Amino acid sequence: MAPPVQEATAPPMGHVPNRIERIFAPIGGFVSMALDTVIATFKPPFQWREYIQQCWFVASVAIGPTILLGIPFVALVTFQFNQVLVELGAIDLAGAGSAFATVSQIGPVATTFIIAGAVATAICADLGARKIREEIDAMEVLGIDVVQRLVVPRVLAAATMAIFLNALLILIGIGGGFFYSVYVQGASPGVFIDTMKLLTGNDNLISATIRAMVYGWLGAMIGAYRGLTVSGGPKGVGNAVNETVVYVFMALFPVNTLFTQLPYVLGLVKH
Amino acid sequence: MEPDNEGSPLRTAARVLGGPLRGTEALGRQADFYAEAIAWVPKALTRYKREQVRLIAEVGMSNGTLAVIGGSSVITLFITFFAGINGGVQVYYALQNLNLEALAGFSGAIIVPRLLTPIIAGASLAATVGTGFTASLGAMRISEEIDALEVMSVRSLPYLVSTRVAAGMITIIPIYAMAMVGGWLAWKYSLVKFFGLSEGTYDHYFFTFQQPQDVIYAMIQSVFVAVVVILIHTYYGYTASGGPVGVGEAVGKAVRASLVAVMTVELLVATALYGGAETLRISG
Repeated sequence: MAPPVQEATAPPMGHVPNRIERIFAPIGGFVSMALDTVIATFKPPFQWREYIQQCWFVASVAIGPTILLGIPFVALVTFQFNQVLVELGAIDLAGAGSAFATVSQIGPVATTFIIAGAVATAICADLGARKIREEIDAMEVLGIDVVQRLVVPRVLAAATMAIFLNALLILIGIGGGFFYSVYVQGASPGVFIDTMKLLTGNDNLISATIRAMVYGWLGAMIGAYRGLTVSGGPKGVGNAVNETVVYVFMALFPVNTLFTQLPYVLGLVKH
Repeated sequence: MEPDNEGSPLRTAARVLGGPLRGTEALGRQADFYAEAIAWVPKALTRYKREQVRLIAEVGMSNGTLAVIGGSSVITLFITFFAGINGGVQVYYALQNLNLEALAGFSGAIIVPRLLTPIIAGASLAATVGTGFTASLGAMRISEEIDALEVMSVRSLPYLVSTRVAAGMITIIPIYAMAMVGGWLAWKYSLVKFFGLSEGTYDHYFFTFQQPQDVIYAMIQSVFVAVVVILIHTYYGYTASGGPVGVGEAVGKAVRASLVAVMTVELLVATALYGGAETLRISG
């Protein structure tokens, strides 16, 4: 069985951590738990029941915000982009811009928002609640590997559902872009469809899907880590969820930059 | 739930039909809360000066673990910086497809103030400041500190909520300014340093198309977003229930609601500001 989850927030007695330690101790704890999770993923038995329940849980907390956030986000981007196109007299390119912006950036960035705001917070609140109620300690006492039983199904469920959320956002993006361009800003529907393929191809779509999966995994991992290391009373749980959102944002934006560039640099994405 | 609720068809009907009614009631309560919180802002500013100053410092610098990594302003700068690099590079590849790399400066001048800064600054304010407020107000509610305030005949809503709304409105301006600077620097230097775009070409197109009014408009958008975000987050914190676990759930609910609200408010304000007469002048 794996060692219990390290509590990075509880330093040894009599030792006051300095600023550097307070920044890096949680990072070390996170990396060690992430590695444990990777190892436990391939260790049988896989928790199928928990995995499917978690997929359902992630979907149920995320679909509503995804739709409600996706529509104004897309309308906002399309609106600003078409302002430029109208001024240039090139509103016919609305389809190219909409498809490009949606597949390459809006999908993954909005997925980041959803993962940080909905999925990671829900996972953190759920695991934090179990930690406060001492259910986690009870599992460890019974010799149950918490990482394998609770963390692995959650991060895999979040990664799986991130693919679907990204797809949903792209669907909303292109549908919303079509509606907004054609009915509000006067683009031609046929030309919109025709120019969609100008700047975007299958390679962009595959890249966006893989990115969404990675963000889902990473965001859920951060939420799970912060949930399992929660301490203190009501304020502690609230702070844990607060920090989860911030850390997920701070991790996912640089990772998004990296994963956007990587396929271009490797020559996998031509567009 | 009492078991006798299940049997009676009248009660079942009341429960089913009551669902939408209860939802409307909750919405009404929220609206009431928001109206009262905003109405108290001017008085809160003059009456609770000391608390107000403390809150402004807390919003800018955060507290607890987040203060160790620099507080909300540094976090916003960090996020917009990477968003700027990402956007710049992505647009550059798209323009390269059309052999229009030179227009990267134009894209930075338009996209950063109109899309990137308001969205990222709003989301980042919700994530850092807003959730912090939900957590602290929720903890106060659970540990009965808010009731204690009322017992001491301090009006808890102006003292706790209106001061926070004012603090959010004031501190969003420097946070927004850092976000804008971070976005622009990242946009420019990622292209100039890593892709070998000529700095002069970038600056030329940047300053030709950059419009000062966009900066003001983006600030107006940010202030609106700040008010809405703080109101939503304080509401969920102020009405938290159910022990430590309830606080965590309230924070999660508040983030989901406020991220949706950020986008909706951005869209409405953007349509109002940019939708009317020509706000973009390229030819003539």
